[in-house]
Amino acid sequence: MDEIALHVLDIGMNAVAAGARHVVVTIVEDVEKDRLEIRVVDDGKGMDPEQVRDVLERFSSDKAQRKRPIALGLALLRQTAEKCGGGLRITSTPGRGTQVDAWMRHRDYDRPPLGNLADTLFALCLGAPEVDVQCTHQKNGTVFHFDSAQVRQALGPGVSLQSPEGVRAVRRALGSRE
Amino acid sequence: MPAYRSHVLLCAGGACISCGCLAVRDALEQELQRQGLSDEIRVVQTGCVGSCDLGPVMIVYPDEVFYQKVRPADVPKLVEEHFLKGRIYEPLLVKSPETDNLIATQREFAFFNKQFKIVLENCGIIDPEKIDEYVARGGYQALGMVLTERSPQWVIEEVKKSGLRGRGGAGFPTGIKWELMAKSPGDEKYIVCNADEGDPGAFMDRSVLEGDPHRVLEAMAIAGYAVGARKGFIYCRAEYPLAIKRTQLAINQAREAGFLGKNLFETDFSFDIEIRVGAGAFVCGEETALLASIEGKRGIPRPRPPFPAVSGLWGKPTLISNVETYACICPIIMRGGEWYASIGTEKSKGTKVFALAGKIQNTGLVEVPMGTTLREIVYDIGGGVPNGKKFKAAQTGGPSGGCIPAEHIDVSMDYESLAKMGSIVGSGGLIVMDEDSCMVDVAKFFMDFCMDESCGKCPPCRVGTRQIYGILDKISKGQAVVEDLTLLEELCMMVKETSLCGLGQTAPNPVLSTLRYFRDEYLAHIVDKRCPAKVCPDLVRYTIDEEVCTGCSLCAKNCPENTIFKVDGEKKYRIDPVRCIRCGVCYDVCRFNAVIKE
Amino acid sequence: MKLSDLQQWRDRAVRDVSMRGERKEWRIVVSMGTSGIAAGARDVMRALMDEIERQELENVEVALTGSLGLDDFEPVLRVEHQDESVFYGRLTPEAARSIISEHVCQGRKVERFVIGLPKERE
Repeated sequence: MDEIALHVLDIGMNAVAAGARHVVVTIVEDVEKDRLEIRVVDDGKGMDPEQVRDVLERFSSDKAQRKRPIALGLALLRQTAEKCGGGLRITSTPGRGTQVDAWMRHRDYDRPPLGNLADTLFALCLGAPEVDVQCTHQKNGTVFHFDSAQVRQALGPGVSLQSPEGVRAVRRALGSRE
Repeated sequence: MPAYRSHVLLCAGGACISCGCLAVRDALEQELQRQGLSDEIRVVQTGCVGSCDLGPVMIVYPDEVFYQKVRPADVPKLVEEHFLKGRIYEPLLVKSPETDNLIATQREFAFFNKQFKIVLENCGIIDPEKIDEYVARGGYQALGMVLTERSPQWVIEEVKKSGLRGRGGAGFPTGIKWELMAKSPGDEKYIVCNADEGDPGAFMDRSVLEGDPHRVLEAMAIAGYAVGARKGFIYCRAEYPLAIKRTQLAINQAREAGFLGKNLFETDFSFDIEIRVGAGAFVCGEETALLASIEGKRGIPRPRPPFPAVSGLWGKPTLISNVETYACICPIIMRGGEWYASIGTEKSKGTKVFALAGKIQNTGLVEVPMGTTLREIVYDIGGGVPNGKKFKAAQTGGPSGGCIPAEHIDVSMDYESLAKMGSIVGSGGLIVMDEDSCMVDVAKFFMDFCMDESCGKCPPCRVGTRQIYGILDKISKGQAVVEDLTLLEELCMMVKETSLCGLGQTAPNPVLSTLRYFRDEYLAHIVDKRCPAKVCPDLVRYTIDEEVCTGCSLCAKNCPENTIFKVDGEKKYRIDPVRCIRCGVCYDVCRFNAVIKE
Repeated sequence: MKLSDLQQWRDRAVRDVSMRGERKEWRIVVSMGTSGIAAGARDVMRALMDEIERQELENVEVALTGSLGLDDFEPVLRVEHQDESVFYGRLTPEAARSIISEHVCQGRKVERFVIGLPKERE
């Protein structure tokens, strides 16, 4: 998982599996303040405190290691964030949704590159076409915004995001920056 | 928010309800609750799936697994196997009669995968009582687009381009009818939907109203916009209480959402719909009788011209079309008239829903492109004639239609081809008959129906149908002479040519058609006093084969007239041919096939 | 009610019924769990959709899943057609394109990437 964008994809997939209808990704790169912030909010079925603890401590407790090592994504990201002088926090309400916040030093040597965010959003919104995937990426005053719901509306009824026309439309909407 | 991993669709059309699907639904909901699966598995009640003799029907999505004849007692095992263990529950699957293989999914079942659904595209998929589901499938997009972005003229052009013809039976080009309506002067016009569906054996209109009522409402509003009408009526026969209930619910929901009422989609077009209920008269399916009935008068037809498009309800221009016709409108608007015209034959565009019944493996509703052959419908989709019997004929168009004999089974099902055969497409009723059907009896049955339903206004129909029936009755009792056939044909032509309305004009069709293709059967009844198919009670003889008879006396005990007696000195029974009333009970009860029917 | 309001209503409602109705002729399920993503499933997905678009295919449905039970062979996907299921593993973006252009478009399985079922590996 050597890209932040891959972590975003992983967290997005968790959201889809939790039955989310909306996934909102916000990434803020503040070079001046030397801070990278990532936030993913979803309206899926959420987790209770024990589930949150379990997900974050996937490889630090014996119990977790005895289980199959799946869904290590969040534990890995937390490890990476902490190594880069930051951290990760999960806020979740069962039945309402989950918010994952990760932050770290922007200039840290060990900080993974942002990576290909466009491909992450492409994979997420095409793989789960009924989910609204939104993303706002801020860097040094410029903002990139993507909303799969807008692409769907522009396509009109009867045209699926997965159709050739839909794929082209998503690509166009993403291609404007990344 | 629950993320359902599966949707279980239960057919709740009229037929399945009468098979007890509601008890299955209750059992399913209870069991899912008990197993803690209510948040993962969603139970949905839908309209008619089409495979009516396999009810109660259950389809599990996303895998499309198809379960038939589900009973409440089956539910616990089914839930355990399918939803907990993830295995298909084989005892409830359909078995292919030819290969004996189990058919697991809907898409593998020829009855479904050979159909092309337009009219029925939502039936069996959505819950007809939830407007959300109709909207999810694209509902009211057509109305919204038409009102905000298109002119009435555009709508009429699109319907003309589609080549859609009236599905009630007459097959009049719908686009032209709309055009005539638009041109009729006056600002008070009406849209009427004919949901009387009088043909015995036809139930597609019922299924559309029970399974996807919004489709019809939306189309009527679009029609209103195109021709300049603000009010619509749905005339539904009283024998369809479920259809009436669901349609009224749909109207209420549409009004609440702003799809019916004033200023739809923030334009200055307003449209509303009311249901009017019939009172058990076949003749009220005839358009002028129907309009009279809406006006509160006795359902009697009147001469045309003037046609309803010029002078209809209360003397105002009225567009009256069948449920199925309206059900085609929204797809035509959304996908284009050209798309619709690319389906079907040159003169008969689009698809038609047929109600397949009689001696056929798979009964139910079948929607196919116009031009599909009768053979494909009977064998590929219908699964052929069961019990190894031979196909004899198929009656199309109910009491107004004719029969297609076996030698013409490759006929293309379209308006022109069937008319050439002496039949009609009609409502789409398709009754399959095998070697055990008597064509004289069939003709008599339909004539009896028409005679009963005749409104009595015009003598040709009122008297003519009675006379025709009289002759058919004589024939079926072996009391006719050859000259009666000539008289029969003359009478039929006279009734056909001089009756006031469609009921009388088409009532002789079954007779003329059976005479054309099965004249020898009529002659057997008249000359030989014999019913080859062994149906007409007066011409059937029952005798006991004394070689086979075991003397069990079951026949004698059940004979209502005590005409069966023991043969002196033997353990055998004999029927007294003079006193026998040919009821057939002995034939039914004999366990040794000793009773011969000839 | 405006037309745009109706479209929004539809977008919200469609998720409830999208599971039902006609399935596409081809269905491809791509494993996109953590191990899949780490092995490169995202780029495989990208290549897959790009090729579907390039070939102008309207009869393919793609779905993502957490795991197909073949973690050792990630990136993994399953191709479903009629009543047949084929598993492909150790995929590259190039392999994904061949699966579309050869298997889906021409009915020829891409043998060098086909892997057996999870049960068979045990």
